[in-house]
Amino acid sequence: MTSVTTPTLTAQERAIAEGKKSLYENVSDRVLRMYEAIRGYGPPRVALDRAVLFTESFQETESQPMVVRWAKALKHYAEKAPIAIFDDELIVGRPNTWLGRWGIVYPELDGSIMPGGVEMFRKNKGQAGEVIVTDEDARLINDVLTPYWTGKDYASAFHDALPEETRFLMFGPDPKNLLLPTCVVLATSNIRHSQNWTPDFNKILTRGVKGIRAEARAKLDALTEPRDMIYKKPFLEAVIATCDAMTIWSKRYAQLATEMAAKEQNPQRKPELLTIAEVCNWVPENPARTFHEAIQAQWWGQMFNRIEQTSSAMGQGRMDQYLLPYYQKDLAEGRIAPESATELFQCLWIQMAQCVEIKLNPVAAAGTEGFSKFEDICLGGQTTDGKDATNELTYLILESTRALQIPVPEPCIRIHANTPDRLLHYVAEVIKDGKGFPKLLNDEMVIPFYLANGATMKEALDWNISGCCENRLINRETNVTGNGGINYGSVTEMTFRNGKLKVLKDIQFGVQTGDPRTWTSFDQVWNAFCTQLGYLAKHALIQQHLALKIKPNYFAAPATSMLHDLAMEHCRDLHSHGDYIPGAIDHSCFEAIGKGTAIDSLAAVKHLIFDTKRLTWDQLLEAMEANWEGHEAIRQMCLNAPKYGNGIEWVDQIGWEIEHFILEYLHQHPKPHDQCFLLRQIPVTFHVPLGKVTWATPNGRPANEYLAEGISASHGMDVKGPTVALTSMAHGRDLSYREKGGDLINLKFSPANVAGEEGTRRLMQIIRTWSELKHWHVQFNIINKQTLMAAQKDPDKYRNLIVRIAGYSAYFVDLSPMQQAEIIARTEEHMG
Amino acid sequence: MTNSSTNPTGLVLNIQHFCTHDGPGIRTTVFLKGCSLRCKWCSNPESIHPKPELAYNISKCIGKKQCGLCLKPPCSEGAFYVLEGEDNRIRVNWDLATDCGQECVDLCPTGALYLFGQAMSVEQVLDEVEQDSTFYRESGGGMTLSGGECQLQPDFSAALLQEAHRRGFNTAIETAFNVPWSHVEKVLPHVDVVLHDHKLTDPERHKKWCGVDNRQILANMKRAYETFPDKTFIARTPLIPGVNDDEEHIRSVLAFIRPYPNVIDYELLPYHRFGESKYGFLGRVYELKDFTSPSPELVQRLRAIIDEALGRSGLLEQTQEFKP
Ligand code: SF4
Ligand code: SF4
Repeated sequence: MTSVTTPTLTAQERAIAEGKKSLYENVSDRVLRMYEAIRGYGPPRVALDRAVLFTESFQETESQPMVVRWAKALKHYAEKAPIAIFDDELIVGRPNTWLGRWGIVYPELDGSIMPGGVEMFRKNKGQAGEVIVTDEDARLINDVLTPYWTGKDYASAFHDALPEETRFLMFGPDPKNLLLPTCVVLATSNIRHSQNWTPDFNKILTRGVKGIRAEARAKLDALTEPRDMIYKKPFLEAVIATCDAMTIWSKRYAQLATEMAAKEQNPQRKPELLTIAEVCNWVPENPARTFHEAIQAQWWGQMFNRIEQTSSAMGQGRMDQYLLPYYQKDLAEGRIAPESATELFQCLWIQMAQCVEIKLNPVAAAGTEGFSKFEDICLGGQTTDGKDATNELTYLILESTRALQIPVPEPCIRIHANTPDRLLHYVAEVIKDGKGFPKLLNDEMVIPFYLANGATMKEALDWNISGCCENRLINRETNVTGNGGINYGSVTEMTFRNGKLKVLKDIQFGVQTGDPRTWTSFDQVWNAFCTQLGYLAKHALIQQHLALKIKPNYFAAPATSMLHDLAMEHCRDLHSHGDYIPGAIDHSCFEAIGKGTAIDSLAAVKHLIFDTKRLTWDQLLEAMEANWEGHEAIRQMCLNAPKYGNGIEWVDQIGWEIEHFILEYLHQHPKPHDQCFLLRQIPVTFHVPLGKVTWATPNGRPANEYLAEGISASHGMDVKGPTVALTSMAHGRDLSYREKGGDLINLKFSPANVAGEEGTRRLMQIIRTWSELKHWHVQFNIINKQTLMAAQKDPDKYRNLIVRIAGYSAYFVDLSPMQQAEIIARTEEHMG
Repeated sequence: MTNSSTNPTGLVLNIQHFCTHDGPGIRTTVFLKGCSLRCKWCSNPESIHPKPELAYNISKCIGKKQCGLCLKPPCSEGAFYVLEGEDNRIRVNWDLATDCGQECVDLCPTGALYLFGQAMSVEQVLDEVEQDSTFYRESGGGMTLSGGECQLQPDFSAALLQEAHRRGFNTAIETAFNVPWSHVEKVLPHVDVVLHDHKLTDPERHKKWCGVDNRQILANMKRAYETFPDKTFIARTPLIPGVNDDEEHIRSVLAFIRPYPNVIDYELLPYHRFGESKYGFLGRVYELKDFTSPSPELVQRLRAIIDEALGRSGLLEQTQEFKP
């Protein structure tokens, strides 16, 4: 029993209600001024200098090896790109010339469809997800970039090279259609160069690019084999050119800072500019000597990786581990205090917060709403000898991100059996701020996963977070190709509509598995479901093999590769991993979205048609065909049928069977060199567009509505609370395969439910139990429903409101109305 | 409803997961049906009658035009009807709807018609309770029996509690103690934490507000405190405005429990109206329509009295901003 009181507000809600600029006081005026300038700038704008300069360079290097072309383009960029330093900046280097959000476009990726994207964004003016494309930007894209890249970009080449049947499943009957995927079989290799990635930034900090350059030079000088002249030499030359490019770029900033200092009247700013000059003169060329240099070097590493390519998600690595020596040394030598370290961190976060992912492909944009960017900072976890790795920086970093109303970067905590209560308590408190940070990943699940996939114990203990709930061994894994996947919604619809998809013009997409009216047992339903699932899975793998094969002809990434042990050892660009780099762990990811929708649909059919015989096939199929119109009683039966996520064993078991089927399929069809496809059930926001193409399903869901997300139950259908939801989800998984990759779990609480010290303790207990249940990932949305509804009505007042989406957070006002509704519809867990 | 002493079945109202106010840690609370009191503020009116009973939530009904399934057999004729010219939703004639059972509510596609109370075996209950066991381990939680009055089904309750212990869970009950001592003797040996109500001190007023006087209750409490010195007892008062939200009552309860060190705490549960809608679902009248929750200031003042008497500073209750 509890008493009714006025709603408890989270720190975020309180800050908005009181019109404050930050949640807590530990933000300097400098940082707040920059924050305001960025939020004041408005929607993000496309940053085109990189695209234009890359295009210029590529026009000059057409017959050369791809990795060399990339390095030369990077160097051209470093020499020619306009640079800018803004007031208050301490960490410098940007691909644009305004203080505000920017998104680089990469014409070599999808230049063919860029004009369509431009048109989409121009039409979108004033709406959620708005992107600024000025007239001049549009002219550059349409007149300079598109003419060169049309037919030369990866997306169109990939599309054209797809086997006809696979292309049909991915793009529909019009062989020319490239802009609008069907969302039945999915691919992401055509919307990003690389799968989520975490570069080993620590190499820049400890060795400087000078050290990396020297290694490449020595290797190059030692090459004697004729074969190496073709395979290794270009890579090593590219590394050298890339190292030079990074140095050139930073020294231009050093020069600019020096010039600005000479003119600077403000006695406070002048020495700051001189420090910036000194720091940029030294790093990234040389190993960092101070904490400030380490942070700036880290940012150079990030920026160069972003200019090189997009991976949609750049993990920042285990920052509390690799920055600790610099912090401790400066602290001991009196160069820094926790406050000034916090300010430097926040300057870095403000830089990162300006970088957004702009997708010119409308479905990709819908699937990654709110400009999803997974800029993970991996904290906590264990050391390579298996001890708890929490240190003073773990807390300092978490605290530095806590106050700011920015959706990136994102702190993530590796939880393990010996995570100290002190850290967990603090984590629970930060979660209660209500921004959805930090997300948690589970050592108890990820480490065995890596061991099963051939990592050493030491390597497995050192894993990194990368992406919404993915992980990386940053010097062993090589899978930099976007993933394939399938839509469980389509599989479900095809099962009951004999392979046809109604939203997609009722065309025969799947297998003709027969008219359900002829089925007399649930086994027949299950067999049809598996046939459709297997069919789509097959084509998801086909497109993936194609991507792996042709991608090296289109992409290279010397700046990323030179930070990877195996790439350097074998002198191979990471984008050539389709040919397998010896010693690598080289997965590809297979995404499956809408699991809860499929489980509930199968359960409803089993329950209503076979077990209780309350419905006939005719009744159900007619009602679904009519999208339930005029059949409300039948829809209600379907809605009230047993649902996944409520501890009902036979229903959860269907989840297990589905997962088992896919895992076995992936296991039977591995990649070469004993590498495998990983099953991941992570939606980003793709469950919204995937739902849009899915007609009514037997779980009572109407046509076009979003699917269930991650491995969560359908929206609002897990009515027994978080303990049962978490155990149900645990039962619905098959952990016996090394192909079992990440799952995403969302839990939503009202702030009153986790109020006070008692609420914090409850959250800690839930987190500990989640870890024991061997879940992969969990994130929390702690927000009052009223706040979300108020934000729908008054977006201006709530323009800084951050909510949790799926593995990332975003500004609520950057989301489409449909996605906003989806967030509101998620089950809110209550404590009795 | 005991049919065998080895695997008795009982009448279960509901099993609620993730309860955090019914004893230590994260708990699963099993509500048993049937109560020997009639508290006017009862927030679980569906738990009082010791038989399964029909309930109806009109807001879920989609009406005769779209459904109307309850207007046909096997439902008793006249039990359900529609008012012509109105909203076309079903109305219930509670006098005729007395025989409605499972097959009747199963017909209703929306769950507007449903049944309170279900016969369950010890095994069935514990299997569902056990789903949460990982959470008990982390939080020190376990199973709580509540009601109604769980001690009205003494064999079933004892068997549930015993089985919970056998499966390694902490046990608690919520009780009003208005049962024969022989029931208490059966149940309490298997309970770790006894949460029990001190509703009113005065026997006459107790009778007025709860239907019977409190002589048996008080005798049971004293005897339980004395007979089970190793059990943990937590006294509670549901704070009802104008009925028992006065200092005098609080002090008299404190005086009552003071001699017993095994009564470790005294909690106040401010009145709320969460149960009101359920009266309507059951076709009953809620008598406390004009009652409001006691003011936070009053609750705070009364809690301060308890804190002082129990020798606590009261600071623990307040949330502190954590600094790592
Ligand atoms: S069966 Fe249920 S939903 Fe249908 S009319 Fe009767 S009460 Fe309403
Ligand atoms: S003792 Fe509890 S269940 Fe029984 S009538 Fe009173 S409040 Fe209701």
